[in-house]
Amino acid sequence: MSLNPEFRRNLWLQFSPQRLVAAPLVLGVVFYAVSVVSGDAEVVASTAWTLFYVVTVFWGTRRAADSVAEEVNGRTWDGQRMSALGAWTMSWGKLVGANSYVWYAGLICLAAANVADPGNPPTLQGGVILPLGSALLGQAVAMAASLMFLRKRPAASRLSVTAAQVLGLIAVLLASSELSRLSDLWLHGEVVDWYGHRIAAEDMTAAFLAAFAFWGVVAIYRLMRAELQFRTWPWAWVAFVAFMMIYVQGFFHGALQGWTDARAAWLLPALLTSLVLVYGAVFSESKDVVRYRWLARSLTEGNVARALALVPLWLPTYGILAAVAVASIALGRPSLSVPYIGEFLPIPQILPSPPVLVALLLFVARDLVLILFLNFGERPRRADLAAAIYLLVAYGPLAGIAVTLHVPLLRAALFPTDVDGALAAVLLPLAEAAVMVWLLLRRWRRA
Amino acid sequence: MISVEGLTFDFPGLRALDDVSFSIEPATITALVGPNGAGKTTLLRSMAALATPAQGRVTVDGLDVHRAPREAHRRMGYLSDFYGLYDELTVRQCLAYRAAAQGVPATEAEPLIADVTARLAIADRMAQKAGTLSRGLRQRLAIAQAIVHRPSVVLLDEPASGLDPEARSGLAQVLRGLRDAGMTIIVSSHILAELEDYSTHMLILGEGRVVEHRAIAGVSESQFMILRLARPDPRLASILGTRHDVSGLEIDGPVARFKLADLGLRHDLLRDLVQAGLEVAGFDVERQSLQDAYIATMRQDRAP
Repeated sequence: MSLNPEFRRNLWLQFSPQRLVAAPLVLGVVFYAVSVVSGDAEVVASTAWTLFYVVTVFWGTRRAADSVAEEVNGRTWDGQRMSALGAWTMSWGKLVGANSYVWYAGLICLAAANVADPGNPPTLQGGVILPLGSALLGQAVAMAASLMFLRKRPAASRLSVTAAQVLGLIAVLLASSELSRLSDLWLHGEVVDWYGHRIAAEDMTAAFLAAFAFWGVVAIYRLMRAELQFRTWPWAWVAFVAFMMIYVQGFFHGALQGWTDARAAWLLPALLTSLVLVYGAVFSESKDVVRYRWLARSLTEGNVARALALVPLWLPTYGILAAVAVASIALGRPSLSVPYIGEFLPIPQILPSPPVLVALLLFVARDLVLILFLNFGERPRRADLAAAIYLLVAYGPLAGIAVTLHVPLLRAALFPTDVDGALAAVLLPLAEAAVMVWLLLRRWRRA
Repeated sequence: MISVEGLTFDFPGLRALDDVSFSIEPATITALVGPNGAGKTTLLRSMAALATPAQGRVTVDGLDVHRAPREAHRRMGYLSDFYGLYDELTVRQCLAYRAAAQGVPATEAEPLIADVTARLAIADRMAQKAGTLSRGLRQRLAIAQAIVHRPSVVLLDEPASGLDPEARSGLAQVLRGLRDAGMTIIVSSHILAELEDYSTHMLILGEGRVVEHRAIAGVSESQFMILRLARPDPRLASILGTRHDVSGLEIDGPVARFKLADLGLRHDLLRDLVQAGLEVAGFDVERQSLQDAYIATMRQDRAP
């Protein structure tokens, strides 16, 4: 069997005899120096762990983000896209290949960290799965983000590389045990309650790091398919949304078990998860008006296969959000007598009423149309930034003013609330959404 | 060999290709010409399945390139206006990578690399890094990368851009060699004089539409005759003006330009002029360069 050409090319670029010798030599000197100076095996192990994360996560995310940017800036990306390599071959060849030297140095650190302190050996999870999962997750997210930025703008800047790297680092921080430990929300000592199962925090983190790393690789594969001009339907994204809903739900499951008269509360985690993912999807994707025209044409012509390949990811996510909201309405709101769940979740106060749920869907629709409206304009380069600022101002300072001043109807016009009555809660966002749709259609006809 | 049907490509606020259709015969070299912004690069990228059109179909040997881009890429070579070389790789590594990436089995790669490097006269540079090559050699390496897997179709976008005259002449030789080897080549360029050296067909694009697509054989001869006298003579207008087989007459001093209904009657006309005492210094079919033909076609296309 021949070696993946993309991986082999990266090996040629990454490794030279001098670099091959340099990594073990430099790291060996560092570990030996720490050992001599401190005389403490634990310090050596700690140094090795630190170096592992610096190399594989900090440097690795940079290399992963750069792997695509370098091709674009070096004008070799079209040549790659013209190759006969499949999306999977290209994805893993690039992800592992571009970071082959990073892994070479990182694995030396990992080995040193695991053997430096024989008196305190790490577990399989803590010593292998967690660090490898963290590194793979960070690198995968950084590379996926880099590909995503490329689809939004076909040129790679240092800023976009840095942004992709930062996203990779954030993903590692969010998924790693260190952040989980900051909150004792779901932790009972070192045990996590997930769907009623009490799982050791380390096992839980290791498992989900591995799972998120898998999704990171899936994201690269799907984006690479799109880059290589394969028709890509949104099923993987829908599966990811479902995974996230199931994942988040697990943390609330135990707490919600006893509250049978608050059945709608069971959907609250799913509602919030799909809400976050709608905005995540719409801001991460390219919103090229031409693509939307093709989508409209494909739908008009009844070309379902092409329409599915063109459908923006926010659309099925919004569908899921709407389905969850409708299900919440159907399940009904609990009475105010339902006590707090656990110590942190005051269900009656935060569980939205049916008008608020409808308003929520209308506000999200308005926001989506606003984002498209700005992107369909003559200067779409900064449209997402402008949209983000407008939305932050609307939901932040403006909403704050409305709440503070108690201006009738203003609150219902700015965020989902039924304090001014159910009718206002629904009609005001409906009117805003309608105006935005009208503006969008005008721009659509001119664009 | 190559069939393009109803290709339409949109950018926001701009239709780059508008219902473009044509077909290209095998073992030909088609010069893709047109003014800036005519859609040449977009057309090449759509044909290479690097960009997906809003509508239309491109087939190579019956294979729809947008439905099966990977299979199409095995049969195609593409050279972008930027050569796209890995500067840190040697010539051998560049070609070995590209051959493998195009699906050439490892056992077959070496002879193919040897053949392509010999054809492009870079066999003596195999150990040299791409980044250290001169522009002319980089261009040869880029072409070698595009054809190392022996594609049946090669698309070249501005391959001669920035090359010196000697390198351009070498390029013409290379392309003729590839055509003789059975490859179908489409070359986009602004330099029409250079295209004339090796192209068999010309495809003119204007504002995203096909303005003209024809064989170049015959392009150099227009339908006009040029008659040159030793000195201006007022009888010239009256003699030519009264003949029924002459049309489109234009006289500028001692030179007359006109269409002759039957080119076989040239000797009759010449005899009449000489017998009338006109001092004929030259008489021939008007010769046009590819550039003249292109400019004439574009003027005609833009005429209201």
